[in-house]
Amino acid sequence: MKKIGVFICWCGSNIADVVSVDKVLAVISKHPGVAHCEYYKYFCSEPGQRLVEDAIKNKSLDAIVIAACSPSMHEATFRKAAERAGLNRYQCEITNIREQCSWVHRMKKGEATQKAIDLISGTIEKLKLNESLQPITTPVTKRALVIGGGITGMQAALDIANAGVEVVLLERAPSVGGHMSQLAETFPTLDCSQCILTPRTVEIAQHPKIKLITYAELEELSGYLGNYTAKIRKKAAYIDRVKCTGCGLCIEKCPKKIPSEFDLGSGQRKAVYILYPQAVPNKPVIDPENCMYLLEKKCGICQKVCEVKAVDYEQKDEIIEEKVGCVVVATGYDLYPVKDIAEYGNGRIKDVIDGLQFERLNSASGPTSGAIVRPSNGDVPKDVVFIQCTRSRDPEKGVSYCPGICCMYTGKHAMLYKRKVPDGQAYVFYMDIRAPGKDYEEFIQRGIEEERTLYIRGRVARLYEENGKVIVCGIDTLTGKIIEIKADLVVLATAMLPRATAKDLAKKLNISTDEYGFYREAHVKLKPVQSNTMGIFLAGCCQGPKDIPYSVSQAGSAASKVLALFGSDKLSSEPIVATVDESLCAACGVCVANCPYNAREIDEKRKVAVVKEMLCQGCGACVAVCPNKACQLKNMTTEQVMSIMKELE
Amino acid sequence: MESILDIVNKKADTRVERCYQCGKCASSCPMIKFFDVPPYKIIRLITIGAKDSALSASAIWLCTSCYACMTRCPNDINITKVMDALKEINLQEKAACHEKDILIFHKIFLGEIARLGRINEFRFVGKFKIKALKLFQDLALGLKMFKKGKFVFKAEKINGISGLRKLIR
Amino acid sequence: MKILFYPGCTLTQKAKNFYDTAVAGFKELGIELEELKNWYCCQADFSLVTDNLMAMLAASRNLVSARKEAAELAVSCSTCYNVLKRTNHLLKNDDAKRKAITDFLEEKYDGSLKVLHLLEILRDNVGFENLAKKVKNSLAGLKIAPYYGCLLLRPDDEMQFDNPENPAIFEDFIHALGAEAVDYAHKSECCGSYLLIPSRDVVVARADKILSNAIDKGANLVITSCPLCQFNLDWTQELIKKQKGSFPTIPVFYFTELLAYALGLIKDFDKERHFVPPIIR
Repeated sequence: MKKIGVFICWCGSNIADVVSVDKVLAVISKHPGVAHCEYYKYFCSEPGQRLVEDAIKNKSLDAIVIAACSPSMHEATFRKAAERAGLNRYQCEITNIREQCSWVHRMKKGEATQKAIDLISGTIEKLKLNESLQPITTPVTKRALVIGGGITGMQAALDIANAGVEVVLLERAPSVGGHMSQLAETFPTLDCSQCILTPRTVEIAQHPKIKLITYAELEELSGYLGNYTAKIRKKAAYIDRVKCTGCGLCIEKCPKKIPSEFDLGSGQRKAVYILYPQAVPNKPVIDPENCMYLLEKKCGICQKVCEVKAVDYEQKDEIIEEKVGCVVVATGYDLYPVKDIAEYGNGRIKDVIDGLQFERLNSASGPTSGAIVRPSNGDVPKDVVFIQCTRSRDPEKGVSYCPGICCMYTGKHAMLYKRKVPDGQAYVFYMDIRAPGKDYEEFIQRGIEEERTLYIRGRVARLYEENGKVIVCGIDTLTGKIIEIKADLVVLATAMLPRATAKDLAKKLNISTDEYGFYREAHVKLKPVQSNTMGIFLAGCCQGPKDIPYSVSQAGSAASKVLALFGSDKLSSEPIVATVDESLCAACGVCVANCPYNAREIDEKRKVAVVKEMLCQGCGACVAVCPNKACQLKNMTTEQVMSIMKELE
Repeated sequence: MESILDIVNKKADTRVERCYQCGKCASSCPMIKFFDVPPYKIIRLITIGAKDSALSASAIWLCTSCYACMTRCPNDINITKVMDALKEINLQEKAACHEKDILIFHKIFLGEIARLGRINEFRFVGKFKIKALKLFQDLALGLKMFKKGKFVFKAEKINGISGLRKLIR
Repeated sequence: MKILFYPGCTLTQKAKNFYDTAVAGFKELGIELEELKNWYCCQADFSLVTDNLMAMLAASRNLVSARKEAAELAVSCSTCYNVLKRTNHLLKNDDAKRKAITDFLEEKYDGSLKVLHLLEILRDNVGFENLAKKVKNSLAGLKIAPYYGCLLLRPDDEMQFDNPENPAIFEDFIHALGAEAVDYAHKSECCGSYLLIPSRDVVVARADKILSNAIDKGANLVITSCPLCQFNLDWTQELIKKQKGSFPTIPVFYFTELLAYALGLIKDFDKERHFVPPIIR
């Protein structure tokens, strides 16, 4: 029979003013199995803890109950004390007679006292059946996988690699850079985007601790926290990118021209291409959907001219495996497609473009070398209309949320336009101006005062073409005047959306998405970079729309979580996990389907369910759903729960 | 006492307080040049409880329920139904209607249907002109149309007229 | 094939040419439009206020009546089509209101009648390609501006007639007859409707805007499906001329008039029912 010690805390007057500690002491002392019972004003204090330790040693106690405040306050404190006195920490249990008793029954002292007695009795009975457990440990692979090579992914990779930890950086495009590499200048400093990005891309390429894999995607992720195996599919580039010197001759000679995705259709690329001049890696890939040789066995010029014989039409996709300890997801965003906006022309009006297309026009390395011209006829536009809140803040046709960057980049666009076309006029149709960051509001005001951008408050009902102009039908609600502008160019600030492929990746990583498709964080205020799956972290726009400073901050935050995880060689977790009585288990799989932490799986060979203890959070869902009652929680078995219930009757 | 906001919300099966005054309704409205108060302002007046200002807008009577506003509203506010609701509240409260002619129009239309089951344009337009004291307006047009046989004096009465009359009360 | 047809008040009087050409045209295409017996005026306006069911009774009675005889009801007037279709939609989807109305009418109705516009029948039952084959008097060389008006297309979730921002059914019809369809900005904006009588200036201004736009884009003529729209766009041109000093008038037709002409059934149009002379060449 276990010798149990019970320690009733007064908690000053918090407990003692409501619960009669004398009565509790008297009754509990007589409870079968209780070898020692005392009370004290503040057991959590140093003298209090010493009393507990002394009692354990002097009375040779096997297990203790601390009747005090919530376990979330001091369970760790008392378990450490128990350990110091030579007990297994899981032989120490807390009964909450403050938050769950004295604090909520202030007016019913008599009943509160009885409740305290019942609660403590329940804990005693449960404790009698407690096992001595050891924390679960696993070794950890100290390598991180970062998915996404935009500014966020690169920043996270650098922050992790600079701490000496190896990083595998995975990017599905032929080179890193993401959307930021498509931008011309960034707000509010108007730094040239490529200029501030290139140092990062070069650092990534040369960093000894970063393994950069481009033109590749995650095929499958298996394993668990600290021990993941990532299967990566390297897409066939039809070029040996190791042999390739990046001389560019193949690109020069290639006869096939296609609208460039990087330039969002406004520029052209060849069938063999690199994304942009400063691309890292600077090695081209061949587009199998447009290469004449791959499609019809015609041409073949690139292979003929390549001096290092790097062109290999027989190349196949390659699957490689990387072992990592955790993953950072930084896959970025997409924009609401202009072709889906019916009242703005369904993408058929050439002079109606979106923000990224405007960036390409404005970019010195873009299709027009930075000249802002009308896509329809190449003329310089004299009246440019910018429309904010396009399909954002639009519960009916678009998304309800505000992406928070459009006011800023529209203000920037208007300013940059005016600098290039000083005799032009920029109009911005807005609903509200959201400029919360450092120097943001001042930036917008500068546009109004220095560049004379005209801000008109109202949404635009419709765009249509007439006599070579785009007719903008809007309104200024502040004056009530209907405004109709004959514009040369219209730039839509379209809503930021999650990537179209985000859901597929979420399934592979076993993370959840929110109602819009952005990855769901563990707690929107306090845990913005953690997903609900341990070991998978989120950063940047894939978690929600945000600007570059915020994305970069999140990258650092995710990196710090990775480094904390790798702080020790072993990962340990609480042993209050599920167990399977294999003699009762029918391998029906109900526990697997119900586990929110992906901690259950069926061992096909032995035909039983198994618990991945490192992932199990001890929630008990599997215990509840198992039809054969084969599942139990350690130190919270059904028998133990019933023993508590008996005392509460 | 129910607020005008609640009454309109119920009648129009919508939530006008969702409106964030973007003005897309006004710039979509084909009649906007003739409106004294733009639609989003009428919605705002209802939201803040300015019942009289909302009900006395002549815009209400010039709305033809073409639904251009509602097709574009980002908040799915049933503006068209709101205008109809305001028409009805006006009629019910016999409030001062700035567009008397339209009110008379609606009342006569219903009256004609009650009599005959179908609209005979001559009777209808004639009655309107008399009631609206516009007897001599468009008389030339009336004669022209009569000559062209566009007016049929004998009004068709449909079968089951008593049933229909029961419906219109 | 036979299909039950609801003409509406105006088609039997002022818009008799709409009625006659519709019946003749469809007969030539193998579809007999059989008029619904004892139909009532639809009331020409779908009451929007949710607690007023009285306004829906007339239209409801027509739907009940039609359903007793057939599964589909064809309509040609945009206004009637709008009222009947929306009333039907309400009866189909709102159980409480359907019960209130059917109890009052002492009839049973489940909302299963399909209300179709003649253009939908042309598209789905005849097929525009087949129509093109039957054209005897091609309209090649003509530039036709379709005027949709508001009632055919909106509210979109109830009407489900065509894309409300970028409709194309009229254009397909025009192409089938061999002509060129004119794309202009105001093709689906309201003409002013019944405001013609109490607030005529509104309609004159709207007609001016719509027609000037179509003429600007090269239109020779306008087609429509609503007698009120036809009247508003046709009759006001004199007034526009007076106000502006000059106006390049343009004839406004019912689409069935051109259908009958293209099929070789008529050589001229009903001059009595057009203000701007209905000359197409």
